[in-house]
Amino acid sequence: MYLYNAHTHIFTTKCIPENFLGKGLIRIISIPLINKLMLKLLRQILPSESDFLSKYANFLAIGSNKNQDAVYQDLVNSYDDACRFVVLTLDMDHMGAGRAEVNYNTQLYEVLQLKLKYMQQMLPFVSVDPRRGNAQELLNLVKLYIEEYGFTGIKLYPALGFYPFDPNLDLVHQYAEANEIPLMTHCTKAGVYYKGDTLSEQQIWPKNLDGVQLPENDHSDSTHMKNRDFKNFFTDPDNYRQVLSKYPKLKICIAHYGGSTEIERFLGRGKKKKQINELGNFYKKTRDLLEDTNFPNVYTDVSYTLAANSIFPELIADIQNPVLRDNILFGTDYFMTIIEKNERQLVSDFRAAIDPKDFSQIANTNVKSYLNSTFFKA
Amino acid sequence: MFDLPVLDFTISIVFVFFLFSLFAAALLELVNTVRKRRARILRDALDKVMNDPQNKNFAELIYNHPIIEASRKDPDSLPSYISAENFATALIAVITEQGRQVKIGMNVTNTAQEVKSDTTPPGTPIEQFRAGLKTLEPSSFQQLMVSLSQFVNDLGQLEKKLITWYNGYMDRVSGWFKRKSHKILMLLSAVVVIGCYVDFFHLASEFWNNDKLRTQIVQSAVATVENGQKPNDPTQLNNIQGQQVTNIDSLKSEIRNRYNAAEEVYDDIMKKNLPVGWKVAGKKWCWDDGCLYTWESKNGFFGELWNKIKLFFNHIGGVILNLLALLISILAISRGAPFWFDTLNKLVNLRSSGKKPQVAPEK
Repeated sequence: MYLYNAHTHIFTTKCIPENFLGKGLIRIISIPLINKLMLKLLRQILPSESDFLSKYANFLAIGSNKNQDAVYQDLVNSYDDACRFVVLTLDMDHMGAGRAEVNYNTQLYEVLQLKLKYMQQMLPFVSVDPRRGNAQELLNLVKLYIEEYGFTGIKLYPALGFYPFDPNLDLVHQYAEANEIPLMTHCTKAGVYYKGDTLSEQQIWPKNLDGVQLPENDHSDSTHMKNRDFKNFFTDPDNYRQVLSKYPKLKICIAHYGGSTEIERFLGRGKKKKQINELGNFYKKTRDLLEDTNFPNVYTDVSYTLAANSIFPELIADIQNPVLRDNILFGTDYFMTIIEKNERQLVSDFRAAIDPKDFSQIANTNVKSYLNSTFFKA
Repeated sequence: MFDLPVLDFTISIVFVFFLFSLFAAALLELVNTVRKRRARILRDALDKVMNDPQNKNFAELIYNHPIIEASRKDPDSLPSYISAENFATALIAVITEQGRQVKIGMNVTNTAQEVKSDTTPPGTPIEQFRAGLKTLEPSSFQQLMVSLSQFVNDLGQLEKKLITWYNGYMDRVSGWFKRKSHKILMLLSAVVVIGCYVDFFHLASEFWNNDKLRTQIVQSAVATVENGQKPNDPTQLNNIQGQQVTNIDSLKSEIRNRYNAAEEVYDDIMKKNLPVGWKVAGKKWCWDDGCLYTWESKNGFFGELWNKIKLFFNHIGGVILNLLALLISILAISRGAPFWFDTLNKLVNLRSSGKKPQVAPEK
């Protein structure tokens, strides 16, 4: 029986646009020798493995691997069980941070070569950004990678500057629903986001939405916000209600279960942070979607969120809740989580806390049912 | 044999510039090693043409091609040299690969994925290359490839064209490298001139007035020309020496070697008792009413600052002359060691012309 990790990344720092961390910084830290010198320096200053900066050093070390194959190998080596990994590609070409050394087309091409190499073990998702082309072009891209190249699903990352109900994604959603193709979408208030200086009209509020019921207020009075705050409008779980109202059987995983900070807040614990807008609690909203019987194919995963041991009791309670049990997936968000714990430790801590039957449910049964489509059988 | 004081004076000045430009060159080599500039500039140059936003970064794909991979000693290192032949082979393979058609699907029992078909377009290798090229979206890189492959009949001809293009492009890259390196060399020359206080006017005055010093320097210059070799030009792309730096330890050792080389040049200069150094600065920036480069704290910060401003303007002529002397040295040293070696060689030859040939000892 395979263990499925439904949420991993293997892109390298070369895939990240040059202005993502300030002009040219990515380029400098991706130079292997500079990176190694930084690591050595950090490790000498910070001898303890548990140090915060040491973890950043590890993150840097993995992301700066020569290519995606090396990052993937590092992931595989963290597991002793027979595993299959959902590898999520990421289209960062339109996030307003300049050019990447390895653009999205190259990233996809490299992942395709890896798919041929790790045919059964690697289950890649093709990332779609509505700014890449018109609806038909996006559909063609998805069809090519799903039907011809054996990719397993579709990845959305709205925080990079689009709404999931963007009209350009319409044909993709329609196709995914018709063929039970899984979608994975990033949905927390953390993570990378759109870095551009200006927001297009489409980014402030999409126009020409055919048959989509929009939320009550548009966001045009919020353009003064910093990008890192405005991005919450893009990631808001309620956005998927608009998509699901049109495609109710769409199989979609609202990843990260709101994030551990939102779970803590929902439980009245943790630091109280000033609410930038009235978007509400993402954990609560994600849970509401999972419980909504109109949308039977909505999933979430515990990726990244499982790095916080403090919320294990609540996570496990939800996994044991009959209403939610079938729709929670196991994933880690490798290698983003290296900042918190190394992959091996992350999984072993979680497995130590959860009943093996429950783990099998989320790491095998649920992921298989999520991944199964017209073109793929797990 | 010419024995003119003017010639000896010129030789002395040129020799000093040669020595300090040698020191600046050693520092430039140290900088090149620390920054791995050759490997980086090669990658940047290829990215410039081949990182195609409409398609893929073909430079990245070439670097991951086995033939180029094999030239890396360490998986993390960038190769500092790619031969034109290897480049052409890898590029042809990468473009041809674009025409490969793969289909992955479930097997008949629906239990596992498998490669359903994996075909390259039919035809000769050049036709397969063109089929790969056809899959590319229109872009400047695609147009370059189309124009290079337009009138060729086989891969051999295409390879030749790619080799010619690559060599021509690398010549241009060498030009960029030289220009960039020259800017760094200018900066390093300024560091050397200020650090060692190489004042051109003071040197000239000392060499003109001090016969003993001039004779001693000329002897060293003649010995250097007779025994030495023309130094490498570190601003040339193909002249960056050093072992392949592949990991932290070899980088450390390479930096140590470069540092030792620079230190050796410096020690050699200092042994010659040249009229340079901060003792010279003491004479140039001090007058009867005070010194510009010292600081008397008893006057208080603003009091002393005011004194310095007054001193500066009282001796503005001298200040400008001193700065000019340093600027001339900086510009001269940044001309590079090979230039000064050639000049020195010509002057020493001129000085020795007419000299009696040595008679071979009788057997």
